[in-house]
Amino acid sequence: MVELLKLEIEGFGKFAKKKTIDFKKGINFITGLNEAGKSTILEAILASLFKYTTAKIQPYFSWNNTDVCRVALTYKTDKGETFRITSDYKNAIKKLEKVTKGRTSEISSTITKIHEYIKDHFGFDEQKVFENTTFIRQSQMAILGDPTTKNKIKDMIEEVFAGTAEASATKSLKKIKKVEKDCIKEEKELQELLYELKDELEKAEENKEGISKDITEHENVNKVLSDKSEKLKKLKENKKLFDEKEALLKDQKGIDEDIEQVDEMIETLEGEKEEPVQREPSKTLPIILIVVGVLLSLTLYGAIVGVPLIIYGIYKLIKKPEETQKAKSNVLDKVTKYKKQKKDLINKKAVLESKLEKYKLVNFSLDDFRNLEKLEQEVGELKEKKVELKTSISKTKELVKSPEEIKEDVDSTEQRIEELNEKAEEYGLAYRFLELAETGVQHKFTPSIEKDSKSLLKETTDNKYFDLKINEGTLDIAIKAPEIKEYVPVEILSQGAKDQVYFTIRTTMSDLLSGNINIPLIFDDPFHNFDDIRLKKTISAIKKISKNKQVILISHRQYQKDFKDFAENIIEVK
Amino acid sequence: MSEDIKIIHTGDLHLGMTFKSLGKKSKLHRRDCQDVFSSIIDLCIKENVQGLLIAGDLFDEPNPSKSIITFVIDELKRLKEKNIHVFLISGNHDPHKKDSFWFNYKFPSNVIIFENNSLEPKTVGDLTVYGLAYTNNTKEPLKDFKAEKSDNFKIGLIHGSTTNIKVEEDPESSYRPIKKAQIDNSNLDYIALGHFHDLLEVKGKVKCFYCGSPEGLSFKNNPDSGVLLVKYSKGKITVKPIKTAIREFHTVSIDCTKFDNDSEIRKILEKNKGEDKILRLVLKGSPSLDFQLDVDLFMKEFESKYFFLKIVDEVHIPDNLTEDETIRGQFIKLIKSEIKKEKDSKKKKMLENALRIGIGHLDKKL
Repeated sequence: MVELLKLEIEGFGKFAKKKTIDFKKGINFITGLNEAGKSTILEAILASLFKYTTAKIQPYFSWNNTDVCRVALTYKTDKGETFRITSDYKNAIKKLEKVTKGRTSEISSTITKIHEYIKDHFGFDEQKVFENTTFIRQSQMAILGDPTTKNKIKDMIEEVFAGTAEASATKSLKKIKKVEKDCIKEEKELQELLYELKDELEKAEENKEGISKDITEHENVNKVLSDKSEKLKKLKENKKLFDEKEALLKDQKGIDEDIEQVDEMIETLEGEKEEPVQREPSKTLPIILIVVGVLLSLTLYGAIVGVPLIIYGIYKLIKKPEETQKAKSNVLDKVTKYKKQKKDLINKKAVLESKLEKYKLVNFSLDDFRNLEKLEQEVGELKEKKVELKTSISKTKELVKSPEEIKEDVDSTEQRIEELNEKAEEYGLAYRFLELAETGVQHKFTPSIEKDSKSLLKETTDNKYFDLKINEGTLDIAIKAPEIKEYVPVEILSQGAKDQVYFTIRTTMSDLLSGNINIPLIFDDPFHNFDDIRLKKTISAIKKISKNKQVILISHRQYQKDFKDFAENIIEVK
Repeated sequence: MSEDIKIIHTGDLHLGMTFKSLGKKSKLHRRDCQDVFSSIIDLCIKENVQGLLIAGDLFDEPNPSKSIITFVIDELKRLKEKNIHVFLISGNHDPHKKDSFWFNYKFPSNVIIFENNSLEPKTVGDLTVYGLAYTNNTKEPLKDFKAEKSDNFKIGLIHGSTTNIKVEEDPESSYRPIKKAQIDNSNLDYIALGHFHDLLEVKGKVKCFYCGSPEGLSFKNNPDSGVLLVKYSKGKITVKPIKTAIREFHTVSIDCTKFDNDSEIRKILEKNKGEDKILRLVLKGSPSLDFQLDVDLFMKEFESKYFFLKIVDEVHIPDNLTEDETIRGQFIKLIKSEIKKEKDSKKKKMLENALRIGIGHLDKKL
């Protein structure tokens, strides 16, 4: 049994002057008016046992004594050894001493070391767990009385089970599960994206090969095209020369023919000139014309035809000799003309011949140009092919991301998936082990709470209730109602009955959680709403507990007047 | 010899490389590597060097994209205009193999690409470069080699590993072994090496350097990546490193053991920031369970202040955790015993993270 022996306090909270409080075995009842400093005593005990930061201790510096702020707590361990913790908060010094027969010897002045000893002696190194276990506060009982908050007892059990945790395991588990689910969801979405990207990458790799194939082909086509174009150009040039020569040769042939013709003409005309045409033109036709004309002119209408006939006949008779003359001179003119023509042709031929001289080396035959058309067609096709390849290359380049780029997308997606995967797994692990811890703790303690609280419950409720059940999973509490002999939820009980159940379970849990070390149980005025009978019963229950545990009970009510000899030690704070 | 000879020695540019560790910034850094190549060309022109030596792994893969190859060709043409020669060898990443791209592209006439797989000399003026193409991993390039006597500045251009000198587990460092005695007996004036990505002097009778990559390629690289300006003056050689790196790879480790919150980490991230910086911040130590690491939050706040930021969580859980009878205590106890059983260090770390997550929720820190 761990026992507090003495608390020396100076310059701490309400206690400006040095005050010494001695504790005894059994029930220590601290009483006094509100604001007298009852709670300060509890804070001083906690400040001695646990780490208080400067910020946390500052409010306890006394206004009326600015020099010191000192607390010394002397206690006895369950092994019977006595220790004293002295804390000088103004100088941030802590000291642990062992007290043997009134003489002290220092054990340590290193804060971390001191707390290791405290953990060893009290079983706790976390203030919150210690408080949850050993303290039963008025405020907690007050919340219990608030009709708007449900399941407070269950919450209390969860809170005690949670240890230093701020949130219950149930709530934490819910949140952890949600994160895990979110991760898995995002991971799934990304996995789909990854499949798409990998597909795209494959295509891009193919395309890259495709492009390089196209590029090679483009280069090949280009080479063949330039070869063939060159060939075609040369051939075309030759063809042009060939054609020109052919044309000249044709012209030459034409001139030769012309000359031949002109020669013939001249020959004919020369012959005509030597034997001129002496044939007298006949006078018969004009005379007949005149006679017919005169005859016709005898009638009035006949004259219309007859007179011109007479005139034409006379004209013919007179004209004849001049015409012959003209014909003669015509032949002469023609001869001269043809001779000139011949001369021109000969000149022309000479020019042609000199031109042909230049083509002397052009020695092609039509056979040489047999392939020209085919070649021309080939070059045309190659040109088309080149354009096609070029557009295909630039198109694929434009449309498709480069494989490097997609690979980068694949990499970063894979990385994100891995991160999410790990996160999900970690949250999954957290969930699994927290759930295990929760079930473990609840499974371990709920049957004990059920069992151990029965007798205490019976005493505190004046034999009315003596059986309770706690659901291991949900921690719901049910009480056997004597009237109907059935278990009913604790929530439907009266306020007083709820208080008692809370107190009972809480005390039982404190016993269980502190394990083998029986540390003191501290009640900070929790029996506010208890009626006299129940209060009496509760106090007698505490009396029983105090045989195994030191009890410190604080109240502004003067219990010592109503319950004679209920406390071993009455400390009045003024 | 009339005048001083100046050359620039570079290599291991790994153009076209993608950077898995840089996530979405990989694309930009891939471009950086090309920009650095352009700036090396600028540097050659500015320094008016006689030659540019490229000691292998100019390209990251045996089949580089056409756009990268044509980019390189266009850049090298700029040197042709200035009458600067380029001595180029292939490396293990871009080997000179049959049907490789080396045969499909026409490099400008100022570029001398070594095509034999044993050292052969190419002389331009007073400069003689002995180089060899990379065809396989095992050949010892300097075995039984001795440069012919001449007054020229004689350089060896090799992609390989100086074993015995840099011993690492990395199998790559056994590629193309070059032995110290072979270097000493080479009768060369300078040996321009490529393959290792950091600047490294191989000390011996002959001046012998790894120039390193001119731009950082991984967190292993030191932040001052660059090229070497080698000057040959009256038989004396001076080697001057010139920084070319656009981005700097930095790794910073901090011990978080005494941290209760993230304000120290915030300070470090603020102190190291830089638009061109690539920072990997490794968090170590075993801080209390009050310390909750929200990497996503840090990233949101600081990612834009760096070219690339990565926060690596390597923190462990503290030893002295309370394993009391409460759910919190039991949770700690259960996970700790699981960690003890687990052999895989990655899984151990995951369990530790799970512990932090559980406690974070229970203590409402998450």
